[in-house]
Amino acid sequence: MITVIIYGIINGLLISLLAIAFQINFKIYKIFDLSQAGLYVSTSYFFIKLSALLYPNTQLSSILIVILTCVFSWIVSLLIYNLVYKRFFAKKTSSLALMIISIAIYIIIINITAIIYGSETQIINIDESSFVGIQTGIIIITPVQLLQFVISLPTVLLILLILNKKQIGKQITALSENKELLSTLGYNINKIRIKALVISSSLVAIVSILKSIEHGIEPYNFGFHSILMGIIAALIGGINSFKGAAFGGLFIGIINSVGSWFFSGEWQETTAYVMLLVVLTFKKEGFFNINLRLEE
Amino acid sequence: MNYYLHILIFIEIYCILALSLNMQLGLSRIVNLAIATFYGLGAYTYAILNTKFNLSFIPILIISLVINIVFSLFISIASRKFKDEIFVLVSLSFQMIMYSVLWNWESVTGGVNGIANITGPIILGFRVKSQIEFTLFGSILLILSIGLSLFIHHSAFSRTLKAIRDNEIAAATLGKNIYAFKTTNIAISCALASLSGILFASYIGYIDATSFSINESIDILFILLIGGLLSTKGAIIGVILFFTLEEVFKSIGFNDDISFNLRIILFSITIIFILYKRPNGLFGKYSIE
Repeated sequence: MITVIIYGIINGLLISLLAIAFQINFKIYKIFDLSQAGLYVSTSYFFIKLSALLYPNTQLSSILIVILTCVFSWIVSLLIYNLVYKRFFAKKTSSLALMIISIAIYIIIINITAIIYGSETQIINIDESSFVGIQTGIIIITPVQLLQFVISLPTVLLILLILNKKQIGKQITALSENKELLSTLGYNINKIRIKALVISSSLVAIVSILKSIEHGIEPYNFGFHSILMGIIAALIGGINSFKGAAFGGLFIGIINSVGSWFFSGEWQETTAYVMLLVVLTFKKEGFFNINLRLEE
Repeated sequence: MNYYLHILIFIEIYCILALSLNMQLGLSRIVNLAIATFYGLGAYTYAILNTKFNLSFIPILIISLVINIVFSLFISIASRKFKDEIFVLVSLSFQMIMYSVLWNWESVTGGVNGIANITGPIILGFRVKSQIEFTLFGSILLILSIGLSLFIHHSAFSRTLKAIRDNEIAAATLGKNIYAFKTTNIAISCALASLSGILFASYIGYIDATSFSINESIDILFILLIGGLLSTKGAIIGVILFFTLEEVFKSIGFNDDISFNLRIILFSITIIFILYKRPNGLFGKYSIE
């Protein structure tokens, strides 16, 4: 059982990062941005192809690959913003229509990916021992899971620190609450959005890298479910709170892990969808939301 | 097997499904991403009653309609509680949960193996078997669906729903029971979706959950937005475009997979373009913009 919870925490930290990334985009766009699933898929393919190109990976080339993958994710998300969203914001399109547009963007990206790379599962070329569990006391953990934990935990803490204490975090929150006032005070809304997109797309890139190492990738299902888990976590934690999103991610990770232990692996993600329905029905504002209900 | 008849039957199936979602989206602004679930429920009801109980068409149809109407209550309750994007997410969650149930409940749905050896429907002692017979059977179901759709779109029921959609409070002030109207609309729409499921299961002869995934819901949503909401003609032309586009790509020389991908890409780009330049779609009378 302890091992199951540890797996849940590791998975939950990754979901937390996606939840925070979703929440950043929600705050700057005011939409449920499902195009992040397309970003997730394209980024993971970029990572795997670049890894294969620069194989065998030294420590230096591995760092370079991760940096280049993050840069790629910035380019994709900025392209989506500039080519599509920006035009619709200027037209004051409804958030429901924008959500459908974000689904269309996701579909375009995954189908372009499928045309370029095919729809078969692709895996990264690393030592098979990375997937063999190592027993430490009563816990069994694989080196890949350890890597996920070692990277995701400090990233969650660092990003929470940045978003809650640094100026950019405050600007993102201010943009979400009163765009006009922020603009009147002389802040460049476009610049804040770009900075926020760089942060959110980096988080998506980090999770897509860590997940693609573990499971391999394929275009159709790889991104959508992961991003949905992030959205569910953000809603459960509270759409207005970064800490809530992080907590929601951990909660969903543990619930999924324990759920699949009690029932079976096939029902793993179903538990999260049921939890979302329960939370939205009985506690619409999420666990950590302070002053904003979802309907407002 | 005649390939063109095969495509025609699929056009009929998708037309019924598009007409079904058109009622929810056009009349009540409900973006129900669980429409594939109702399509699947119709198909599974038919498959189970056909293979395990060997029932004829009419009893299966009645049971299937009842099941879909009962399940539609979830959508009704959710639409009462949640609006717009949150409702989309709730319907998406419902779709995912139901997909898991269809995929994993092996004793009833056959799980990953699905249900095979489904035979054509028996109507007045005659079993629908050949492709031409299925085309006719599909045409009859489609004509009935179009008739129902046109009847509803030109009725006082539709006018009341549009009033509720545009201003719930004003409609309630005029003494309209907004939830009763919406629930009825959703129930009729979900019942209509079961017809397409019945046609699909009886024609293909084998079903598993993969035919009723979120992708089908998204396809139907995009078809409707391109054809235009509240337009029966728009829904049908949207479906025809959806299927012919893939054939056009195949005729140019692309393989099946690439043609499929190109169709989806072109459709998605069109959605973005349409929502930007022509939010009502080709023939629509209402926009979600």
